[in-house]
Amino acid sequence: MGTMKDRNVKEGHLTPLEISACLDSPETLAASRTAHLRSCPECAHMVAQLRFLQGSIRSLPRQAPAVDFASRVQRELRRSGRRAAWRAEAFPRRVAPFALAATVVIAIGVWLGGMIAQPSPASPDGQRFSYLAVFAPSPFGYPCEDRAICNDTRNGL
Amino acid sequence: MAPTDDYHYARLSRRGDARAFGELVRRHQKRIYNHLLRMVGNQDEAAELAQEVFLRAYRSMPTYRPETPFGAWVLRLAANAAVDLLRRRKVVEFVALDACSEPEDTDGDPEMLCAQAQLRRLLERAMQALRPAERELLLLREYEDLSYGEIAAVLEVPEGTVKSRVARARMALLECYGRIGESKTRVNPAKQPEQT
Repeated sequence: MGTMKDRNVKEGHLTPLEISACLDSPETLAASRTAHLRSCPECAHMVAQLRFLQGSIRSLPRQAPAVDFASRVQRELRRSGRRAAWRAEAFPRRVAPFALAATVVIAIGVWLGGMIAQPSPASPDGQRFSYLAVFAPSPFGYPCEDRAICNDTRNGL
Repeated sequence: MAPTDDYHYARLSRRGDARAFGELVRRHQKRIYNHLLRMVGNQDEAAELAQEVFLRAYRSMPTYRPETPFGAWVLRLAANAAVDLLRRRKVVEFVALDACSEPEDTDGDPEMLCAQAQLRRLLERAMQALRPAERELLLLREYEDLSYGEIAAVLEVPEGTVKSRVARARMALLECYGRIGESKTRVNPAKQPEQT
């Protein structure tokens, strides 16, 4: 048996679509194609083979799933329903807006804190706030890392 | 299957009625299970996948449109699940269905029954040798006996596309069957088993 491609290049034979149509509704085939089918043993054989396979697929046995299949699905549904309910209880929807608001407030706080603790060098008041960097290491004997600032502060006081 | 009843139970299920959904499961379980069994070729996997499909269907009920037949909708979920599974497997392995086939009919000519069983095994091997998409189409068309329009609805592709794909799948099956059966037996329409 040649491949379908080999067959398709031969002129005059029924195309796969036409052969398929023969299985579904032969009456839809054009008269000229029906005439070809009657006179062409190759096409007729192919249609017969496909009819045989079609019948064989239809007659494949059908099996029932396990007798407790539906009840197992229901059990699983109940279990997943309980899980969903537990999640809903643990984090009720009305809490969500408050949680979101709290997150935003914390984020703004962190951002503002960062602005204060790390002033821009271009800022004229930058030096005044630099003493807030309390964790900066100071050399031994000097309480303040930047003596100029400390002196300014003391002078100011 | 009564579609109107399906509609009623599907509407109840959409409101979260698990009992009504259970009724839908009972109505469609055999069809879904058999489709998956023919697709994946393994009873345990088919049963597990069928359960997963129904659970997914229940969770997706809020998005289900009642004007779509429930059977077609859940069959679409099953078809997608089967193709996904086969894709995950990567290698399309051949799994003989002999072990999970129903017992043979013991009435009749033993020689004839043996020949029929052999032809069925060949057919099953040829089906397994097809690409999953081709197998799916043939199962929907021949095994499920769906119309082209129904298949188009299940697969969400135009009807014309379904027709041409089914035609190609039929040709592919014929080639596979011929190749596999070449050394054993030839297609013999005279021995065609009776359709049920």
